[in-house]
Amino acid sequence: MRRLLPLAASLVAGCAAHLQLPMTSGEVARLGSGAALVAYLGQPDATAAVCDVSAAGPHLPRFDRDLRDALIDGLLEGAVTPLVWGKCTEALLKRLPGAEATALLDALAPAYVKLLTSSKLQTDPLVAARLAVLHRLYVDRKAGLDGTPQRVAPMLDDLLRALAQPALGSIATRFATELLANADVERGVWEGKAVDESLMNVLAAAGNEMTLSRFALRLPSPALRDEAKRHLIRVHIAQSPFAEVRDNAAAVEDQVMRDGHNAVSLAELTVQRAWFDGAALQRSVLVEQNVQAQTARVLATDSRGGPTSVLPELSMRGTLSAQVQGFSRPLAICNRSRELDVDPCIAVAEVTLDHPLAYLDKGATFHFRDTLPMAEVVSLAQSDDFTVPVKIGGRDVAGLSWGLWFQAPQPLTFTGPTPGSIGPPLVVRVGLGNLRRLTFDIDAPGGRFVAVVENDDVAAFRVSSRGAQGSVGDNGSSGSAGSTGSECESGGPGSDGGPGGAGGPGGNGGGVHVIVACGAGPCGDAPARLAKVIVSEGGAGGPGGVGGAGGAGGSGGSRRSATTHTDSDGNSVTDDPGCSAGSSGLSGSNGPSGPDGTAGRGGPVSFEVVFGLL
Amino acid sequence: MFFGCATPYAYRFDAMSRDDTEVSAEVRPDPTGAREILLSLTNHGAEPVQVGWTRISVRAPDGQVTPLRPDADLGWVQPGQTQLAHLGPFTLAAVGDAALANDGAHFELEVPITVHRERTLFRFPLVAHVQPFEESRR
Repeated sequence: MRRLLPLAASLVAGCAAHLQLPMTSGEVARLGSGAALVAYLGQPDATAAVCDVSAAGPHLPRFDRDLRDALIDGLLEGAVTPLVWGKCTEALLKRLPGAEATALLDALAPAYVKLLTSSKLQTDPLVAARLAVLHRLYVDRKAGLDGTPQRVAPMLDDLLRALAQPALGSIATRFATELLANADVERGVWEGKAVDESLMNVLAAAGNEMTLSRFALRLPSPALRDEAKRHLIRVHIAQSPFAEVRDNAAAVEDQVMRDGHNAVSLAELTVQRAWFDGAALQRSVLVEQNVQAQTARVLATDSRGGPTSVLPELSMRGTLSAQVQGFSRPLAICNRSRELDVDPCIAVAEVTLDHPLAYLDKGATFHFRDTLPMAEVVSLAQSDDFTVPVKIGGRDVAGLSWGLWFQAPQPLTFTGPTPGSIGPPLVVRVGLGNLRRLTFDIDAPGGRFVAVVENDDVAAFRVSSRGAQGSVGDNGSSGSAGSTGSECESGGPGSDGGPGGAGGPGGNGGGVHVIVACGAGPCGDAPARLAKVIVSEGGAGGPGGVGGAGGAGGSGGSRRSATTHTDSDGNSVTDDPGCSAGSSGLSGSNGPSGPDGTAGRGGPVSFEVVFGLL
Repeated sequence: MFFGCATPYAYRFDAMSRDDTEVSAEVRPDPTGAREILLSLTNHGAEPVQVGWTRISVRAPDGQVTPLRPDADLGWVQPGQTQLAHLGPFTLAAVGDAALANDGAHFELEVPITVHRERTLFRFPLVAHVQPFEESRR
């Protein structure tokens, strides 16, 4: 089987414990661990939508204890900013099944107490910010979502006792006081009095949205909460800049009570123009290609070569406005229903981003799929920029345009399957439809491979059919060892090693046919440039075999000791003088290495120029 | 208060006030004492002034935005009235290098206000000056 050679670098990061940053939402959804979640959320522009377990886009597959503990630690230890942490946890509390949401609230209670009693709360703004987000999450949670009473009640009792002590700092006192006041509201009491309509009338007359909002969320009965909402809506109507709202107060009140907002029907209205508050939306998009796997990650950057992070989400709320026929002032996208906004607004469902990577979540926020097959990415390459048309009511009315860069892919080398075999035949289609970058679409025996290369990176890019390296020559035979010498005799010499075999010839490069599609314009020097980039190369000759090792010399014979006897006169008489041990024989020479094989030759490369697009 | 060996610092902010025909405002940050920003708003007009009390924030020099809220629930500022709001928590490092690093730092308080049903954002630049606590008392 033929293989694609040089992309080893992209294969290295397979270790499960290694978390590669930037990490896309698709990757955190696939990994699904607490460590991955915290690493993802700690990145600039990370979207808390991954925490929405019912989101349309990539999201956590479950929310288990590992994730819960990691998320809480991520706040306490500062790995995740309070803002993103709050959005993530809010999404979890909103979407998790009741028992799991309660368990999460229960787990947050000790973290709350830990921050409230921290010695750093008074002096460290970060600790105060962490407590603030946790506090608001609990105080502003949706009606009906509560922690386990056995866990919450003792905590409130402790706070009550702590408030009576002078030791509690000003920040802790501020939060504890509000928490206890809210607990009173949950029992239908405000500042020592039972909450009723007359109290709400007083609050509405004073424009006290803060307390009425508290009532709308926390009062014990649905009827009282509805009454609070109605009073809150009346405050909003009184302050609405839209005369048409104040002139139709009763109808608006009913609609906002029913829908949570005052969405207009665009069926018979014309959206004249729309615009973004663009300051927060300036980004460039970087596409990171893994050509071997035919996948890509879509990342964000401030500039080419600058640091990368994940693509930001696009909240339509607060950023998109439209002038609609018949209204005295611009309309915004409808707010969350709990805001009870009375101003005429455009329903989220009326807004679409006409872009294949964009999808809308439940919170009026658009996200971009950031882990994609290359086949989808190629379509992006046709535009100079990352352009996102915005439609309202089905009409093109606005758009975003971000810079777009494709990270240079690694060279693509296709080799023959066996030593010395010819390189695979390739058909390479090169698209010049966009002046800034080229698309390479390669048909190889192993499959289809697509890559996008910026003009500036083309000279360093390479597509080649390469003959396989020649076979390695056989190693020479080893020399035999010399004979062992007899007593007092030298050993025999070892024989020489045999010569190594010749390496096999490298395979020739395969035939390559290049089709250059020049788009609407002239091809210019593109074919000449591409001739240096798309090539057929001979494989290297196989290395010669290593010469055989010379045989070791035989070992010398053993020594013989002298022998004597004493004659009758008492003299010592030598019978045998003996002899010394024989010397070892000479080792044989190593055999010569075999010659390397000859390199293969490049195969034919033909070019065909066509006009139009591929 | 005991700070060990680290030098305690006091903060002073440039005077921040705003006088419009309809509304005047004064801001007094206190990041090491009450850990809050005292906001005083006076309505000189004939209609109530609405303040987005739950949408007030302070922007740090690094761009970090911290929400601030009054320590008690508040409503409209009625004509001719002055409303004091203790906005918090607003705390800054009081000792050591972390405190000294805030000398000259530019913060910005943002307060959404509706006057005559027109929404606007009051921005108050807050430039911090840090000096040793003992010097600040001379």
